[in-house]
Amino acid sequence: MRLIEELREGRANPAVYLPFLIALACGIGMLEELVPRPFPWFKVGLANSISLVAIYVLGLRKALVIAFFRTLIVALLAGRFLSFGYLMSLSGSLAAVVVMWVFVRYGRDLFSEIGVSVAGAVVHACVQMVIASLLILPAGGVLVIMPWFILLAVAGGVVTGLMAKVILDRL
Amino acid sequence: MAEMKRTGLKPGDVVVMGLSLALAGVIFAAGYSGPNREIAVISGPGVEKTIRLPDGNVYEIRGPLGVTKVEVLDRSVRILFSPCPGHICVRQGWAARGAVVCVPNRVAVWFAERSSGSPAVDGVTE
Repeated sequence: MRLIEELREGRANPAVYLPFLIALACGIGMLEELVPRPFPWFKVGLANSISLVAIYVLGLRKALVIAFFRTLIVALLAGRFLSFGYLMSLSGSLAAVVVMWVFVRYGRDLFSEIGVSVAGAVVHACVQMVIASLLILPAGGVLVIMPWFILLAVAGGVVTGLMAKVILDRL
Repeated sequence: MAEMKRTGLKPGDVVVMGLSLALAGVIFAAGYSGPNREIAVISGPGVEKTIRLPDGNVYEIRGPLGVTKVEVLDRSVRILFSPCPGHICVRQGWAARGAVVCVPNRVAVWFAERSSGSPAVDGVTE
């Protein structure tokens, strides 16, 4: 019996998989921290694929919990807890989870994992930029870098969505 | 449609991607069009200098990493020197429209019509 079916039929305890998915998301998040990037916050967002998997398998509340602890733990390990970057990744990740959940809940027939993931990534980027414009950068400057962040979000969203799809197909 | 079935894409996916790219394009266009560029605004952490164009000076802005030098010549600006690691801002060269931004050192230069104040965004809602 596949895990996803056991969860759906209520025979597997979803709480068991929560720490497992948090650990997995943190591992992917830390690996991504190691990749050099031209801008701060310019990341593909692979760890968000775990949020997406959690939305499909465990639902909105547990996906939010996973995103919260993933950003917290990765920020602590990377030494930027409570920094601007942390506030941006926290708010971006939580907003992405909510948006992706709405897409999954109300558009399961219209959107595959890839579309859902792209929507989440773009919202993540936009929320990040709004926080950045409120805290550190002038709005004019944010408007200039924003198109590049959205382009990256679309590309990263496709990769992240494919990754979530691969994981979901094998659960 | 056969192609879509094979990759597992659904119609909504294409719509989401298309709208996102359109959004990027609109913001890009908004940043590069705009009114007459009468002043340049150089901003760093806690400072904002307004320079009436044309001009021909080098301005120094202190950011978290050190001093960024911004050169204004006639109606163009460039970042002459930056203490940031990648020097993307320096390599961007001269800009006569849009803006030059150094994210690591939190310095931004952009153009505006007159007086100071952040352009382009008139409100942020939650």
